[in-house]
Amino acid sequence: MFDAYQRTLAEVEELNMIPVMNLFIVLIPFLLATAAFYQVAVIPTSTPQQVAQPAGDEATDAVMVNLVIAADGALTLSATGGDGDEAKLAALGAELPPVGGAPDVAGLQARLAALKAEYPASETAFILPADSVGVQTLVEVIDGVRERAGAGDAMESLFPVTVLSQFIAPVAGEAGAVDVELSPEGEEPLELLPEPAEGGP
Amino acid sequence: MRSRFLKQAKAPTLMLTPLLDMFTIILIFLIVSFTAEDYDLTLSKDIELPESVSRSMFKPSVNLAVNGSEVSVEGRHVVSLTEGHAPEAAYAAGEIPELVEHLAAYYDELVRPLPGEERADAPAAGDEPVITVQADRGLDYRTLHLVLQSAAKAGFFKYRLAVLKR
Repeated sequence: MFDAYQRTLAEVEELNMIPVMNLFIVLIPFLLATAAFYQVAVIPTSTPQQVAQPAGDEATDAVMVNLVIAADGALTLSATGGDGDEAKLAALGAELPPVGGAPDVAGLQARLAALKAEYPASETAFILPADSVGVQTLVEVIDGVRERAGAGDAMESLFPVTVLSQFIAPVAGEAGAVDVELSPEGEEPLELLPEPAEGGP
Repeated sequence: MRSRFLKQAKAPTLMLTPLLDMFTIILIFLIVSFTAEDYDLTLSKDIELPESVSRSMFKPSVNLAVNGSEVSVEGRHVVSLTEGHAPEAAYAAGEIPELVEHLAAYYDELVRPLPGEERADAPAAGDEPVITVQADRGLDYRTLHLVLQSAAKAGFFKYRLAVLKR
């Protein structure tokens, strides 16, 4: 009986792995050839466009944020519009010195969150970088302006509509300006192109 | 005389188990990281895209690439740059004339009405043509802004900055 058992054991054949190997050898080159080792995303943005805006169409619970990025990474935040309370808007503005040579994005997000809490309908931010600001720095700031990490994995939307313009250094005694030319009469207020937070056309 | 203590000669077999283990791990990794997204975007050579946390998906549009040595549209060279800078005359004029001309042709193509349709003065809101801008992360904003200004003069006011997901 013991001999019969031994014989049975000896007769157990190994699994034939050749078909599995063939399958792997086909699948792996296919997946390697089609794999995306980087993932491309986009940041929707726009430049200012001058269009006529109907009178009395301004929302009082929305402000437009102007964010100047200096060459050294310093950020200057200000807001316009809203209910016209200049003192309140001035209090919500900020000057944020660079941290470790880079813009203080965390500090900026805290300020923007305060602005958003005060004016919840706000969505638009003008970004005004200095000429020498690099594209990577610009993208980091735009990321910080558009959203910030919320509870868990969720992202809290801040100012998803970003408009790129250029800061013109102020002449002595004057404030800086955006490079947007108003109409000669100066009658048509500037309205920004509506840009959805995610996706778009 | 052959000794009876010698082991019986046995046909050698390949040990496939470690190879199979390795293949299984590679296969699982590739399947997990496989994405079936179809990008109609050819990343230009010599461009290192900035990294971003943006999750906005790529959508078809006109592709404009700016690196340290040239500006190209849909892979075709349009204008040369010198170490990431356009000629000073272009900055003074606020546009790169060759780029404006090139993009204006694309704009006309995109907003051209179908046969039998009348051409509107401007595209309807939400239907405006969009440009995807691949800008090298080392580029400075002065040049990027000049390129955007040129695109705006050709009729493109909406952009999508291409970035690498972080």
